[in-house]
Amino acid sequence: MTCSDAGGQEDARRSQPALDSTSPLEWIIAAAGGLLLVAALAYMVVFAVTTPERPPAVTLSVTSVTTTPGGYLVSFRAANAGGETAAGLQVSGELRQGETLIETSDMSIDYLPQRSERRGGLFFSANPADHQLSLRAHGYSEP
Amino acid sequence: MGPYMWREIAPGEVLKADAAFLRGLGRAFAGALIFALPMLMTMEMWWLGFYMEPLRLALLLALTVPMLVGLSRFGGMRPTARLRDDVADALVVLLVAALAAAVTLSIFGILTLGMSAREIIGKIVLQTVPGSFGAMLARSQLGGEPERERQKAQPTYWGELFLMAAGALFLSFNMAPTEEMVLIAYKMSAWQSVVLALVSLGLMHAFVYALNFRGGSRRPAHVPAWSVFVRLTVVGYVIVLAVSLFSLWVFGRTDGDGLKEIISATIVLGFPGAIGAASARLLL
Repeated sequence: MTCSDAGGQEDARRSQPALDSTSPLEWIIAAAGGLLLVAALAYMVVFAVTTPERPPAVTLSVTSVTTTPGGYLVSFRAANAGGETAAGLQVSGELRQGETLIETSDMSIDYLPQRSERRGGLFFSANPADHQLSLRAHGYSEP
Repeated sequence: MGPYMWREIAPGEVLKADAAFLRGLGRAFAGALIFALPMLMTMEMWWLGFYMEPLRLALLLALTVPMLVGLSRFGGMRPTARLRDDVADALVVLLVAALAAAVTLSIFGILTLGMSAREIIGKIVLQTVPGSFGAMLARSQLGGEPERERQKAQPTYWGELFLMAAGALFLSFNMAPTEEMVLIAYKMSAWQSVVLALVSLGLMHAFVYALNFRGGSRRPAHVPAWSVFVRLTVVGYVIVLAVSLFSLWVFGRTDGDGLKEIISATIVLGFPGAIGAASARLLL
């Protein structure tokens, strides 16, 4: 930060110097703010330029099966590896015994952002451990 | 930071300035919270953080900086002598607002592990914009120092228009992310849109120029009323509509809508915008 002496003296005359000009401490914090600003802008621009418009790519994985008073709870994690957000994502789970469908259960996730994960659960009255459990994402809308 | 400063200012004064600056930081933090809380607690704002187009978000953040510098000129954290002090204030305020947003959203559980960097950064950046406005206004709103110490120039005509734009942006930012703006536009007939536009215009004129609020302008006797109406109210309303349209576009609220719906939504959002613009001189 350079400033000619003449300019500095003029500024000093014009105002109360101690309160009005920027102190070193404030410059340090301002520099941190500027750094953050540039970093955020750069991140957004780089993200926009480098990320192709890929549709949501959803993978569902079961994290745990627990017993609750309301039935068996299948907890799962939904991860979106795509480049776009899935809104109103429909998720269903099926319990099958061979070819026969034992039970289905549905839920929906409000928003599953790109490259993020959300957690959810499905309740079943039959024990998932006794059958073949499969989770599937049915559809979504663009936000 | 020229070395001349260290010769001119005694160390005690520097400490005093630092203490004043730290108090200012506290006020800025409070201001960021007060003004951004409604948006920090709005679902649409969280969602927009991740599904908004990154380039539009970057543009919004980039435009915030000159807006803050301008606000610092006319109000701001402290009386400033030079433009670079205004820039310093703008950057400080951005940092404070980002911090306030990050802390609050983390406590709310809106920011958690397992979210992508894009989601976390998007959510914080979006909240930083209103927060930084609030932090910048904190001094004029919450500041304890008497008015006479502030040697702020009376804004020029262009300055006045700038303040209107800032006021409009500030108020419309509260509403633009919500679904209701578009919903109201759907519910209104073309005639109702026309009426709303006229009401906005009338209220805007009444707010500042006919009523004599504290800080409102008093019309000099030699200037005819129609001149004030055309030069300030009408031009101001055009600015308000431009700001409304920009806000709607930034949030993706105009995407895929027909022209009639876009115009209607712009007028709907222009209603709070007009109030914000008209009261900018009172608030800022």
